[in-house]
Amino acid sequence: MKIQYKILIFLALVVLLFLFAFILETIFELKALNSVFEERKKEEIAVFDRVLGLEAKSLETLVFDYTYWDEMVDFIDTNNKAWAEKMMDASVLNNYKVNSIWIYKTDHSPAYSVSKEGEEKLRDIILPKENIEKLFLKERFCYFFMNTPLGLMEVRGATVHHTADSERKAAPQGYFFAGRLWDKKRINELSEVTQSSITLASPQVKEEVASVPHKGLIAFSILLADWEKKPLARINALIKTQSIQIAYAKSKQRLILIFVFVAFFLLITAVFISRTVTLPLRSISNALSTNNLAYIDILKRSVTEFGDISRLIDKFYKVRGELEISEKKYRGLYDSTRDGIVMTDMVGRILECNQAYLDMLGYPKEEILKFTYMQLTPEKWHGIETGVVQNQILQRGYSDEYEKEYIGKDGRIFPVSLRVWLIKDAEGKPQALWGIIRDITERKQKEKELEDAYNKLRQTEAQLVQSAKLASIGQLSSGVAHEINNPLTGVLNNIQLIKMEIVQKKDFNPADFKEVLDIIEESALRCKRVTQTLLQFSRQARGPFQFVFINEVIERTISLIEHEMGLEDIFIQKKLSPDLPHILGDPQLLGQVIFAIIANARWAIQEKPQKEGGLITIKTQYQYQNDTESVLISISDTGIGIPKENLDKIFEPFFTTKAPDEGTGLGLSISYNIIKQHKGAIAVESEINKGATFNIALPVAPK
Amino acid sequence: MKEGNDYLSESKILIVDDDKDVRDFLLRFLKQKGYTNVGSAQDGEKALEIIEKEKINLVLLDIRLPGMDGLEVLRKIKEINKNIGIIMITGFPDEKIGKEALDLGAHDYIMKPFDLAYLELSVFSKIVKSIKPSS
Repeated sequence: MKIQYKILIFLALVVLLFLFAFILETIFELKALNSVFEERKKEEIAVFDRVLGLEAKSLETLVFDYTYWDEMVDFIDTNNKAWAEKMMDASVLNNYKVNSIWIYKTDHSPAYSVSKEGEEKLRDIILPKENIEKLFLKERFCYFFMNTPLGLMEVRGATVHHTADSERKAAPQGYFFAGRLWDKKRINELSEVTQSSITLASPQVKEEVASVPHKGLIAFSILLADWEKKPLARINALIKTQSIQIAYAKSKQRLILIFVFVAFFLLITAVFISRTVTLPLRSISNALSTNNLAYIDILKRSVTEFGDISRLIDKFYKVRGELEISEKKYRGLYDSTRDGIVMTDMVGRILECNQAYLDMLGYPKEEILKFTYMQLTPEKWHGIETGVVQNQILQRGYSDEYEKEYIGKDGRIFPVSLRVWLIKDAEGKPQALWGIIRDITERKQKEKELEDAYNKLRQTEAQLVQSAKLASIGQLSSGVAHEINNPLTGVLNNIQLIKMEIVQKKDFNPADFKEVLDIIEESALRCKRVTQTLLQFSRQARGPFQFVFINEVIERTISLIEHEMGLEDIFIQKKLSPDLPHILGDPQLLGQVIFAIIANARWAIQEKPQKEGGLITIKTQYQYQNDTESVLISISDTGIGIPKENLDKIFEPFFTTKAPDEGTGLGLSISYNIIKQHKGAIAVESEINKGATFNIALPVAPK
Repeated sequence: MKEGNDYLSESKILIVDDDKDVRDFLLRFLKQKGYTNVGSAQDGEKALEIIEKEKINLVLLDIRLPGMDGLEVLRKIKEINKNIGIIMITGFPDEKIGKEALDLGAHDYIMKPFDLAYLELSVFSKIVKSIKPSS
């Protein structure tokens, strides 16, 4: 049920409660008013009775005064009509407001009767004897009503006594009755006196006019009895009392006021609630049901709680919008990524996966949901994968990237690489696993291609290294040619010379001959030494590392070029520490490094503008630093130096500042690799125009 | 007209080479061929000293020498005396250097080890050229 209806129902209930309370109150008040009214009615009746009594006083007085009077007794005895006519004339009737007087003798026979002029019918009324007797059996006075031809009459009577017998102890001397007609005039008088409206009715008829309390009308009736004390007639009185009417009117007014007030209150409350609660609520409800935030544009600025709610809704929609975008984005990623994404429960059953995963395995979605990931994995991987789950995922919540294989629907087994994350529920219990899976068939293939390419490259590199070596030899060759051709001259030409001498037999001297042979021998040995060194230098085969005494390598390398460099005024200074430990390495490779650096130094010296020659200093020493024993080789030259910007490029392959025919740019890069192979380090420092120093550190061979 | 032997005895030959094996061989060879005035020097400076002092007809000049190299020595000899015959000898044939030497006025450019017949012919012809008054 809508809240506005609830509020309306609540309001109605409140109003009903109010009304109920007021109605109750009104009922109680009416009851109180009614009792006041009854009270008043009694009072009014008492007053009415009193007024009737007072009205009857003259009649009563006449009857009382005329019945203990000696003259009256005398008249009854003597029947002196003249006295009676004198004493009871019209003026007496008028004074006492009496219509008629009747006097009876002791034997109940009429003695005298008189009535007002025009009312002679009343004079002729004779009360029956037995009735008179009954009337006075117990009392000396009587009071009753009777019907006469002229209407209802009130009659009062008394026994007649001597004046002295005021107590009326003696026997009655006659009977005296006086009557007053209750005619219209009399009723009107009564009405006036009692301020009521009076009507006469037969005793059988109940009150003609009921009391109407709220109109202030008090109605009552009084029965009038005949001489037998039987009801003869009744007086109906209706009294209008202003105060009661006002009290009722006020009560009614108040009730109306309360109704108006309640209605007004209801209206105000309804409007107020509508403005402060229902309308904002409707705005919010509309905004929520239509997703149109325009409904709460105004409400957003309100400081009420509805304003807070609106702002919250606004914020919620904004955040939801962002979330939707982000969700869309991630959904897009999820759907479009080429990586398979899959969620399984802790038993391995697949709960959810993206299209890429389905494509990878070739199953439609409804089929894949019947599998566990184990069923899709060749058995040989089960152990490994269980290990990953136990040792990585369950331990720390995720796995490293690992590789395994999947079996596709078509039976194809293909390699995949995957990472898996653990999802925990609110209590931290493992709930599910997320995996991102990549088909690495292509990568594996590429890897294989890469490996092939790498192997090929290694071969090429070996060839390159060899060709660089050959290039070094090329650099060497002019020197070497001299080294060989000079002694060869000694061998070959001397032999030719001797042959000539023998042929000519001219001055043949065996001693002389021996001298020549010695020369030849020495020259031939020189040739042999040169070729051996050269061979050692250029041998390609790399043997296993052996104990190497680095000074020997240096000496041998220098011996190849020292002479030639001397020719260029480049001198080699050796400061070789005599007691160096052995290192583990390949003497040929290390010789190649020394040669490359010296060749560089030589070039740097030759590049100097004045061809003044230079000095190359080769130093070796032992170093013990940070628990490491090393042999240090430092080769310095006095050449042109290396520009700062080239210092870190100098070991890069094919980096050279030399002209194309002067160098391959491989010498130092190969040297760098060789030193790395020996687990050593090589570095260079240089100052422009002063020279450069190459420092090599090689680990001492383990003992 | 002079006889062949006159040239051999009249001529003065200087061998310039830092390699003793080569020097010794050439001395021996030229003596055997009849050249009586043959001297030798280990480097350019000594060679130039000798050339300044004595009248040398022919210099057998190694290209690779300590200090001044062969071409430098060649240039200096030519400055001293254009008519001195010069045969460059080398252990390593280099076309560029050979051409430069010939441009500088060397008469020949011979490889070590020597073709003895050619060496003899070359030496002789240069000697003849340098001694002949007409040339």
